[in-house]
Amino acid sequence: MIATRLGQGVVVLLGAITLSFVLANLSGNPIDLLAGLNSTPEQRAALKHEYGYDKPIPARFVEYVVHAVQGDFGDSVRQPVSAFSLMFHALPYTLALVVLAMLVAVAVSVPIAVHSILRRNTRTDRSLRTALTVMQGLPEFWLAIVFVLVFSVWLGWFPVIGAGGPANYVLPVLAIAIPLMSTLVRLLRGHLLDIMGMEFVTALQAKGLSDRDIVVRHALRNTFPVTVTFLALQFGWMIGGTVIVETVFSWPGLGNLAVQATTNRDIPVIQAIVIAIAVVYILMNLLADLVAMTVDPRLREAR
Amino acid sequence: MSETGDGDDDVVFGRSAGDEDRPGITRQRFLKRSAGSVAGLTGLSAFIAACGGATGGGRPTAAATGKPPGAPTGSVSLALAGAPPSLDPTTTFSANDLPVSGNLYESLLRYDGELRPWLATGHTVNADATEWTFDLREGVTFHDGTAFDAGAVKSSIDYHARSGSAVSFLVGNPAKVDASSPARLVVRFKEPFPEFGRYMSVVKMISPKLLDGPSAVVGRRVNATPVGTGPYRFVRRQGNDVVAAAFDGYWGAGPYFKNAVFKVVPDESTRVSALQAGDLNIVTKVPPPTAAGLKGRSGLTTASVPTLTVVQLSLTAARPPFDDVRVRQALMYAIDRQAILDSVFRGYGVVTGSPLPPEAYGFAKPATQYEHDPEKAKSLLKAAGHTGPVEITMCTFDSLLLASSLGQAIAAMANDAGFSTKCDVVDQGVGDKDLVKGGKRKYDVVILENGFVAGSALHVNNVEFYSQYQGKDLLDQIAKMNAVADGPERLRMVAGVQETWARELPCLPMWAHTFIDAYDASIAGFKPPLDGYQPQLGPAYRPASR
Repeated sequence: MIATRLGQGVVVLLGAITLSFVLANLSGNPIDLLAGLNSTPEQRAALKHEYGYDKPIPARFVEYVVHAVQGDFGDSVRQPVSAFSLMFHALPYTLALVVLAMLVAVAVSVPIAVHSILRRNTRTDRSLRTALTVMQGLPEFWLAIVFVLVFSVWLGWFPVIGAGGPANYVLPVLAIAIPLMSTLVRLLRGHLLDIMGMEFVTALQAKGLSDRDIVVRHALRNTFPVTVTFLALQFGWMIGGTVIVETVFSWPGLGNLAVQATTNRDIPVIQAIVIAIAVVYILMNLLADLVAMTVDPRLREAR
Repeated sequence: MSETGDGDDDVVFGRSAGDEDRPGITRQRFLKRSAGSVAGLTGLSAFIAACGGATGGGRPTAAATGKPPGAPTGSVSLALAGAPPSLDPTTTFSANDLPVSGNLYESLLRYDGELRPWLATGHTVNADATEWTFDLREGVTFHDGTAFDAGAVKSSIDYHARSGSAVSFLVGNPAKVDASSPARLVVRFKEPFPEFGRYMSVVKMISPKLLDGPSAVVGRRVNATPVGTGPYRFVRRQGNDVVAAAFDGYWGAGPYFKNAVFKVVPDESTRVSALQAGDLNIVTKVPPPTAAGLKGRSGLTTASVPTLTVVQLSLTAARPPFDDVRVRQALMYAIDRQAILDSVFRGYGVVTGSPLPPEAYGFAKPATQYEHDPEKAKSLLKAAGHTGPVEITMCTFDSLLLASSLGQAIAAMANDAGFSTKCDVVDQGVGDKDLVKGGKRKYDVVILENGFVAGSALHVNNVEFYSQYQGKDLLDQIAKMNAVADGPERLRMVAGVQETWARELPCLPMWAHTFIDAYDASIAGFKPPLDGYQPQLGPAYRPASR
């Protein structure tokens, strides 16, 4: 089962590598940008040769795949460092944001969902749920800008730019976590409701367990497969989706790097980022499957 | 069996329980609840808006005054719009690396409207500008301890020349560089090179210890560990940011901060927020509408300076419609430059009608001026044989200050005067490509910012490059202007070039920019740079006693 998944992952990765090559070469080459305004045709030809853009496409493709698989995308067009190292240094910052945002979202969503189930249709529950619906519509970039304005510029509680210390993490993490929270609460709540309607719950009630115990000790566990799968898929999406938050906070992560690389036509860096995101996505899918299988034995028999 | 909550319904589980999520919710209940949260949000927004008003307003904060501290203390941070492509000054010459290299390295001379001594205490040039002599300052050392002398200058000049990069024209093609006497440097050229002195206010002195070897290797070495004579020395890179520390052996006054950090913050509004929040101390080139809002916030001050940067419309004059001078003049009559300056740039800029900025060597306001006259533009187009609207393609770079508004304003005015166009805002890379292509260019008009950083007529000299213009008269005048040393005769020639330029209009000069820098009001001694690109942190300090 795992082997099949891994095999599929490799196929997807090769597809991503091919696609990144095709797309990069569709837009021409960055030689003219590299060479600069006053360059002569000879200088440009020399640069073309140095970067290998004068070879035929099939040869370049094979070379690219061979190198890409080893993580070698060449040097960045703008700085004399390898595209891989630029991506590799930016990746942990984005990972940190996304992981922390998920932890915060989960830590807040679970109690809210549980409370919502236990105190259904009370005034608190209804107002919370409406608030969450509204919050789900709040775009991350709006939140990011408002947070900067209120908490950094006016109150001065948190810094705006960079990833220096723990204080720097608070606002960007919150900006990402809040929209996620709303989705998560509704997901959990709906799922818990379904579970609470199952027969084993009635049995537990008959045994004399309080609703609270049932929800916390039994029902929650049953939400794991769906929730974990959801989070794993969100993770892959969010790695690429934090661009605007990273721009607003000047966060040194993949999103910021991708924007700068795109502006600079820095194709090696763009390719490195695309492949990195593909790899993360594949790994998270695999992880999601593994966790789901561990938690829910019923899934293990499949295939 | 079930816990009752603090509401009005029973909380009951089981299959038969009523469920809020079934479509049993009534419209009234939904509206009531939504109204509640919308009211809450509106209140929050109003609160935010009110708070915004309350914090601003009031008198502009005056810049600090007082004596500099005895020893370097504290740190200062300056924002960059992008990562410096390299810290090797021969490799790159862009708005993202010049602020850094302008503080790590220094040049022989400094241009502030006049050529001033800097690393050279004086200079002389012979009558036809083929031989330049520089007297070098004593007691200057590089950050790595190497002595600064004629040999060091020679190494740097050699490196610039052999690097074959876009900036090697700054040192020209020296026939001989004589460094036999350590305190004096003599450079000889085969052809007259009147601009060499001003270019030497831009060419940066790199420690000779780094410069042995092939250019590519040296380039990487210099970029990894830049060594100059400037007030701040390179410490390390922190991600994209550059960290520098005070250089103890600096020959001049200062530096007064222990650390200088150049932080890369690509987003313009983030730079401003970070400045307001105190994460950054200095932000350069703040757009005038934003700067207006900054005035009066506690703790910030702004300063502006008319710079050596000129906005110009580069025309493709080798093909119709702009191969006809009447069409070029028509476009010049079409654009109300002062109006654009006033509305888009809040009046920050100087309209002169000359392709040179006011502080450039030999600046002279041409007698031929073009007032805003759309009717005259239309009649010129008719005289040139155009019956309907003249279709042209136009673009500008996204790196220009307020590029989008600028482009729209110019296109709109052109459309009102008999042209038909719209302005594309293109990425600098795409735009550069269009200018590099010798033959067919995509755009008839490219709106550019030309930085005359050395105070010399550089972009005028390159008129063919910018516009494919072939008019013999102007080109001859430019060639003659560059064959004579500075002096009254040359000044006459430069004035003549500007006058011919104004008549021929190979490119349309718009205005000279005034850039606004915003910074922490607790910092004294900071002035926006005349060249518009190299803010000097050396003289800046926080006064010792408040």
